[in-house]
Amino acid sequence: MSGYRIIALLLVAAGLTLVPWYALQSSFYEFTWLAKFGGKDQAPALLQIKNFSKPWLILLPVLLLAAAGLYAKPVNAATAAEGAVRSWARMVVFIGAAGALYVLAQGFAIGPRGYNFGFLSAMMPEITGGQFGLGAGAMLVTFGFLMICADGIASMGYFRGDRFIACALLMVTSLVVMFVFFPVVRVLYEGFVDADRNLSFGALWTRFAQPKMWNLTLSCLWGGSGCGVAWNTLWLALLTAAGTTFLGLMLALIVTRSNFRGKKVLRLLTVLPIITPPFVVGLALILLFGRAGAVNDFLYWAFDIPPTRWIYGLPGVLLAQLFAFTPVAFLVLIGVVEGVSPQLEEASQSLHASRWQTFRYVTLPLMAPGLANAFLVGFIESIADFGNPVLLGGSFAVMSTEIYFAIVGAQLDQGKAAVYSIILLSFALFAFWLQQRATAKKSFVTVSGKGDTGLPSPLPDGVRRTAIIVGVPWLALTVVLYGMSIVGAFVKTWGRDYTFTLEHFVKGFAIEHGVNGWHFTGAAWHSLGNTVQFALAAAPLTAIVGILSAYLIARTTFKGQRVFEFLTLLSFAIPGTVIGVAYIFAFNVPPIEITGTGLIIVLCFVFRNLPVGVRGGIAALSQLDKSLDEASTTLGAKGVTTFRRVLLPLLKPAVIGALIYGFVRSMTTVSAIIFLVSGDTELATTYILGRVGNGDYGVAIAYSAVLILIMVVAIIFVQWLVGTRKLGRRTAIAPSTGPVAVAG
Amino acid sequence: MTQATKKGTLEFINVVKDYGTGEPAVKGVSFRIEDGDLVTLLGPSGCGKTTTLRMVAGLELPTKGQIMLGGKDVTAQSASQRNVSLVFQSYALFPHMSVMDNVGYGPTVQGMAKAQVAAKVNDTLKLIGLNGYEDRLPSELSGGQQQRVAIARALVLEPAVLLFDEPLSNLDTKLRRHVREEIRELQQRLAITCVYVTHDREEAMAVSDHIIVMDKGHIAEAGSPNQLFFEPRTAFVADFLSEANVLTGEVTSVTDGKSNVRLGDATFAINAPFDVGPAKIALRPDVFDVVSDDRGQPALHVKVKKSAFVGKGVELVVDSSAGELFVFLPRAKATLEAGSEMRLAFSALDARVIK
Repeated sequence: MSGYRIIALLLVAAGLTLVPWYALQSSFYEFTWLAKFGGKDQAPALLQIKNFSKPWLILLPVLLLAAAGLYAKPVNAATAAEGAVRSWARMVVFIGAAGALYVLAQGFAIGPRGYNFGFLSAMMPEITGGQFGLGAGAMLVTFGFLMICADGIASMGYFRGDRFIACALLMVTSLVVMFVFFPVVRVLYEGFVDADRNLSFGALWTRFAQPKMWNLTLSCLWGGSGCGVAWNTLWLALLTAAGTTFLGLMLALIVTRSNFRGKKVLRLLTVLPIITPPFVVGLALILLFGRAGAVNDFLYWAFDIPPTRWIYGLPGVLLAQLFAFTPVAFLVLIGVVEGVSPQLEEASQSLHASRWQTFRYVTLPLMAPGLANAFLVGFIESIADFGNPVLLGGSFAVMSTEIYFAIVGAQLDQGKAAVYSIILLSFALFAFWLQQRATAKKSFVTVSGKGDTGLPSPLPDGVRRTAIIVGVPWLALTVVLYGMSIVGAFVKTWGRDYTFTLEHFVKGFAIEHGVNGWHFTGAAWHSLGNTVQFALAAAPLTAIVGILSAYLIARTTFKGQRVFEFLTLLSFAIPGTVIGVAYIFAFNVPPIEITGTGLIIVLCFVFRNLPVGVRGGIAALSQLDKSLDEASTTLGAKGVTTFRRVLLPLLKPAVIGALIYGFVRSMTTVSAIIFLVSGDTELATTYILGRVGNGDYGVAIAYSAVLILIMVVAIIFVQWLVGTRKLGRRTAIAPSTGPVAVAG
Repeated sequence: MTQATKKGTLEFINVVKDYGTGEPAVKGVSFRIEDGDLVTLLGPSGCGKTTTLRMVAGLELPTKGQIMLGGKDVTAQSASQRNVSLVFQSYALFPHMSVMDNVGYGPTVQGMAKAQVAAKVNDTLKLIGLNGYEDRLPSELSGGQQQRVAIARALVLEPAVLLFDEPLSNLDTKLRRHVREEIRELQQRLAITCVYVTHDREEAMAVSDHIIVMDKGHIAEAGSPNQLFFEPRTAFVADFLSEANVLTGEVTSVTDGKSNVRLGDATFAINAPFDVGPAKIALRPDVFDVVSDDRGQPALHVKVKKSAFVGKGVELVVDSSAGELFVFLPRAKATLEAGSEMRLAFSALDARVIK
């Protein structure tokens, strides 16, 4: 019997006998369950069957024995009759699938108070008591059975008999279905549930067709009151997308096509959206333009203009989003502008086109798909954004904040949150679909790798002037904003008392020497510790699942590959607030009952950041010639060997990229986890949101500064730790080739 | 002429490869390659030669048909199970591994002990003349050296069949002839079965025992380089291998097993009986001589349309009574004036009646 099969059987066996079957009240890793091993809550499945009347679990050990029996008598392909191997393999598939599905099915069917569904109690034998959420044992058993199932699939001849590929595919698909697809479907379901928990289409319709949502007035244009939330969201998103695309293009043109001096510094801008915590831009805008902001102060002092609250509403949110997401568009568009082959522009010029004509009729059309992509990314970013609207929205409501208030507000209205989520999700998925189409037409952009010769032609004067006139002040303002957010951390009370102080840092991060040694007495330590811990846990998982998925997408072929790719990238399009709501609905009740734990936060991080890992991996893999895999295969290596010995070492930069992205994005996520945190698992971003809510801007800004510092250190540290080995010509796979992240 | 089936005997039986994108890439191909032969798959791009090679390697599985290696059916075997090695067009050397690790990769992943691997790698590197380069990275080698490492890596497993996918296309012209000779010499020394893919007819003729010419997923013709060059049976091979002019003539009568042929204003006899009626005649561009009187040779009266001096001779496009002709005159030293008329004689032995 091969090692793989032994491991699979052992996993199932251990899951049934050694670890608690059900979820524990305390953390698994505290190992307090060892002390009460045989107890009702801590017992493994076998003891649950024997002592605690859970007879329905008996099928699992039976299936294990069946699998072991099959493995003990494998069919010898050389001597067996035709079809014998196949039918043996089919049995293995069946047992594996049955085992894994049964774990889930019994979990859904039998809840804490017995059968969950009326028809089951009618059909099935009576049971006493019920069960709570699944635990470590159930997880091991599921994985073991999945491995067995994958083995069977490979033995049937699929994936060219490669067990590794079958297993990886099955695992990733199961995880994505469980933690992306299922929650989303759960939200849809919740939208149809009426007050008495019955399914009804009417319930969906009444929630859907509210004037509050769809009221369309002229005032929508300037964010006036009386405008429907859906229109607000869409209008804001369109403005933001147009604005960021325009600004991003101007900046990209300055960097790639002008001799502007500060263009090296400009490239640093691309790092900003990655390491900026969600409230920094909004807070800085308040410090600058708010009622007590520097600009208003000055205007009042110099011209006697009374301060207004214009920043709270559409203008403020729009401004904040422009600042927050222009670097993202910039990042996308640098690649697009650089992708335009200089030869084509030279051809145009040699045909006596003027600079402007070349730009208008050659360069711009070539960039059109890229511009569309940047626009749609901006759109998705905007509708998913939660931090800026919640901070600056005032009475200007958008979908993401409405979902938030539907859950945490005075009237806990799950149905409303669900329907809002559905609508927001449809917007996002539609934009995502358009974006996929825009980027699929790659034929325009000419990155051949064959070293296009020729110099990019200079910009027409008008375009160059516009770029400089728009770009430079914008940059200056960005610098001022970030500077503001640093200064703000060191003054007593912005707007009233500008004396220098460290009290905000002391409040958050004090370390005192007490009776029993050093104590972390600062109020922020707890949330910071949590954040770092969860982000550290999530990063490697994101990298593993992401790179594995990328490998499956880019390097293997199987039916339904497009669907698989869509599933792994799906969470990119799901706004954070929607994911948060979905996770609550999906994981608040057995069989997977993990709300309030750290696990749900880690899982949320992993699957929200998964598309980043996947795309980074695909981008990196597409730079590695496929003949490398084939060479390895023809030399007798199996899928797993090729992956480990050839691809993984060459993918190191992509792995590092995924690690850093995973870590940093987890640190700055707010919208997705805002519903998932509990007192124990409070995170940095939710703590900051709380401070902001109390008007305690000083601490919030100081905390943000600390976060930025940690992230920068982490990036530098990882780069230094892993290092980059010389790979001759094939090195250039920068992490920045990865996709652009949706912040919030 | 089928020989006994040995370790390196490779056989394709009605193999079809359909990617499901319109036309199949390979449409029912059958051939047999004898042990120890070097056989070239030759054809224009898109003719299915690379797909055929990849099916030998196991990198593609046939949609239909059978592949036999050493008398055993290997159709369903994956690439990692087949006793076949491939030298890639791009070499596909692992850029993060030294020459040693690259060549030792195959034995290592198949579980050979370290010391044995090292010994084997050393033997192979010696064979290929690369000892002393063990610790270099591929990026530190010249193109020719990289190529040799790729060959060593494929050879180290002592495969039954060694495959070459356009191995010379990444080398500069001067080096090509040299490497081509090396490959042929090595193949004969080891008496190893080789399948070689190229679109360069000169390269194919220089290295091969046999050539299989492919066209649009079919085998157009197979045979020795000599046969295919001098005695093509199809218009495609005549055109592809020697750029022959394929003209329409007529077999007027058959006497004593000889066919009397009329081609434009030329008449001649061919030493084989053909059906009386219209026939396609192939004439290579290099068979013509400019003559003032025919002296019994068949000849065509022509008028020059275009003419170009290419160094080793003069290329002409001429109008004749049999149609337009492409002619190469190796001994001419200057271009000929357009519009000038002359007589071009050729030997009846060089005229081929083809399908």
